[in-house]
Amino acid sequence: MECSDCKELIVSWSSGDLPPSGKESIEAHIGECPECRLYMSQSDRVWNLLGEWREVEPRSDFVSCFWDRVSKEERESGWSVFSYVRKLRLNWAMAGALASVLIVGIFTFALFKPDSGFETYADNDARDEQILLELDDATTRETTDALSIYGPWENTVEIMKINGYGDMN
Amino acid sequence: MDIDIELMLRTKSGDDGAFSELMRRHYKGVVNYIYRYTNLKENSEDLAQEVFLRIYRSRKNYRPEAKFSTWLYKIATNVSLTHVKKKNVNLSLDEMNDEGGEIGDPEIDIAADLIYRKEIKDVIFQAMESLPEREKVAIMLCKYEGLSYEEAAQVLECTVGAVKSYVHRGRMKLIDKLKPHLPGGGEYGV
Ligand SMILES: [Zn+2]
Repeated sequence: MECSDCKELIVSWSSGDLPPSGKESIEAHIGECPECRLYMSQSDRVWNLLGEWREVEPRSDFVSCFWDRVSKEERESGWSVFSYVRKLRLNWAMAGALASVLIVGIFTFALFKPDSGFETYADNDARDEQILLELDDATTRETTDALSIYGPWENTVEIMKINGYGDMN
Repeated sequence: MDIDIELMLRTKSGDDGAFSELMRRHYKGVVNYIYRYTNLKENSEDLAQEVFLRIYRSRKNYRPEAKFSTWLYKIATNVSLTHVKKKNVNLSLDEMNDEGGEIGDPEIDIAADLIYRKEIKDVIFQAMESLPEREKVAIMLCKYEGLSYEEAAQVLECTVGAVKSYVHRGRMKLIDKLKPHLPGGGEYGV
């Protein structure tokens, strides 16, 4: 057997791809050939040497970084809607016309929409204010009546006048 | 059912937690595969994320036709190859020494050991780089990633016999290139 053939068989044997008969041929050859004997040793040792290229330890937050990246891309894809509009290459006149139509549309809608919201608000508001005023008056009147049992107050009349009770006396 | 396929099918139906689990199972292997392919540690993590991103984006079209890992390494090979071609990574040995290696582990931060590891890493990388692409990928998949010949054949889209042939030829070339770097110069026999 030629040395080149033997080396081929040696590598196949190292890879586990050699039938038993092949192994016998190698053994017969390397018994007499120091070069192929050396090659056989080198074959295994080189394969083991590859294992010296150790693994690196990736960062532990790989998975969370991945999801951050996904979120970022999704946000950017939102912006791409605007990019799409930009890509339509509308000129300024066209853009202005579209904006005008939009504004006119909004005003038209506002004009024809039955709008009772403000009235309702004003009515409610006035009613609430009246209730508060009445409550305030009643409280003042009660306080004045209560204080009168301690004798005539100099400013009782003034207080009552201020609160609109002056005419009652 | 294969756990990876099950996780991928759950991902397809909208379960992102399943995809997180899938990544936890494989990201270390993918990062190291890309790292060995490019010899650039920092880029390898970004590129590994790119690999998972491609898979995640195509989750809706996933069909469990092949083993997940073969699909994964096929994409990882494409991403690595594209990166290497695009960047035309031709770093000098000094530049390579600034990248990668065993990082942040004080236990193994012994100067002599570190220098040896960096040297041997670069020597192996250069030897691998000199191989034809398919021989390089076949050896990386079978030697480092532990894929079977059948799985490597699916990644490389070739027959099992072809993979065996790639590994065989690659090994013979590596023996010639790396034997001077064997401890003792490789000049002693059995
Ligand atoms: Zn011989």
